[in-house]
Amino acid sequence: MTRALVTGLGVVAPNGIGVEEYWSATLTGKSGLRRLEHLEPAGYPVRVGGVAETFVTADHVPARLAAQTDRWTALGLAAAALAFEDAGIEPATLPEYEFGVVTGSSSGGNEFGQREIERLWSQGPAFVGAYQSIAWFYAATTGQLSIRHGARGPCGVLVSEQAAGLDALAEARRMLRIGTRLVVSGGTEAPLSPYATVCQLASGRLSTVDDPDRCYIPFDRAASGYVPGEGGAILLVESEQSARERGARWYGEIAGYGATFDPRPGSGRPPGLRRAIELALADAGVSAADVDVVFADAAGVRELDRQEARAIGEVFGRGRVPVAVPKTMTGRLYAGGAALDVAAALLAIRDSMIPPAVGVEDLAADCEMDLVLNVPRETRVRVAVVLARGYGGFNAALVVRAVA
Amino acid sequence: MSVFTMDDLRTIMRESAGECEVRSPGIDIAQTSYEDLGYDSLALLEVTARIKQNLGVQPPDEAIAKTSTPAETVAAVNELLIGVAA
Repeated sequence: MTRALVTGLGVVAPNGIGVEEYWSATLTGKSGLRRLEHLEPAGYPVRVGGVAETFVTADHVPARLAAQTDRWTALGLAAAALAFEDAGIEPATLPEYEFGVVTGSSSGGNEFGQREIERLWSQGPAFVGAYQSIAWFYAATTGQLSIRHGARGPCGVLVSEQAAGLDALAEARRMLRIGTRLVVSGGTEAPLSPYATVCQLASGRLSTVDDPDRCYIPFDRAASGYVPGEGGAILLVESEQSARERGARWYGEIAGYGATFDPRPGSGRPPGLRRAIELALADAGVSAADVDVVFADAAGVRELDRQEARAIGEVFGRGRVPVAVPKTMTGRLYAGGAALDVAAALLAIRDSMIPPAVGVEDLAADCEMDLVLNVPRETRVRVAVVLARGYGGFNAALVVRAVA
Repeated sequence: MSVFTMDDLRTIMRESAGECEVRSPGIDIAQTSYEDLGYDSLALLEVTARIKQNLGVQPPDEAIAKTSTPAETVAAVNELLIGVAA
């Protein structure tokens, strides 16, 4: 069976655009969390988010596409272009039917949709733009990437909130097994527009703390929820044969994956995260002792933190594996966040460096773990596990591994 | 009623479907197909809607959608306007 290598990374994150800017910010603990000034002084209870404030659409996306797409898709187009640049691939040279796209998306194009709905209310149906028909839709980023780069192979979108970033990469790996050469995968998100923010409030999981340094402190006794962030990562997933043929370099392989769904509330059965981790390890053919770092989902909600700490402890032994939470510097980017964590895990392998979490001061007793905090930890990383849970019961775990 | 010009079309396209991607100085955009300019059928749907709103004409849906270059679109709109004036 062909191995699924990651040969290109494109990152657009609140604390950096491009792999190196993001990674150096992350290793030095530079946060992209900001007061959400565009939501003030309106009474939104969420005050802070991860803002990609240096991202200027026109710098990355042609004007025609910018007018026809949501910010989330623009972020995806930018990240994909950065990934191709990183890999040194000219997409037009790829055989079009062996070239696919699969991304994760949790909410589609909210900002674009809000503007068109406002036109509907204030001016009438004839004033709603034709591009609303495609711009809001979950598959819009996949579709625009496919059109832009001429990818006519398998294409799709996964909608499972934060888990979607991992689910998409696992789907990319499956696409290679049916003969696809290269898949553009990962995900981005733009959840900071007013309409998008309101949609997220319904979960009750967002932090209302207005201090950017204290609003999102997963596994802390004072954890108060999480804050949303925008951006994500696009990864080029390529068959080992294709990568070797063109003499490419790679970051590592997608070695294993597991996905589960939580039991219905009140069933008394345990959450599905532990099983997802065990399935992913089995799929990769590695044991818990082989794992050098776990990138936690880190919901920042006390009960969810407790559940995750328990699952990690049960599989790896309590305090036995380093835990990384770089998303404390970006907020949760939903589908984009899990993809960004996979990029960070591959960079940890590259540089033998585990990125730190910031802001956590008082680890909760029921979340006891070896959390890498405030400063990066230099250590050999060959196998990393990334966890993601999507609102509504989705659990996913992905194993990435160094490949000689 | 004033005559519909290439500039009018360009303004509508820019606002509703974004600036076209063609930048070669030698090319005659008016005679270039929408496909080559990077516009899809939704762009022409947008143009139809804006012309209805801006010029107060009610073109049949296919009148504009069947045009394949900006020059053809401008000609089609002017024909509609003449029809209204007459």
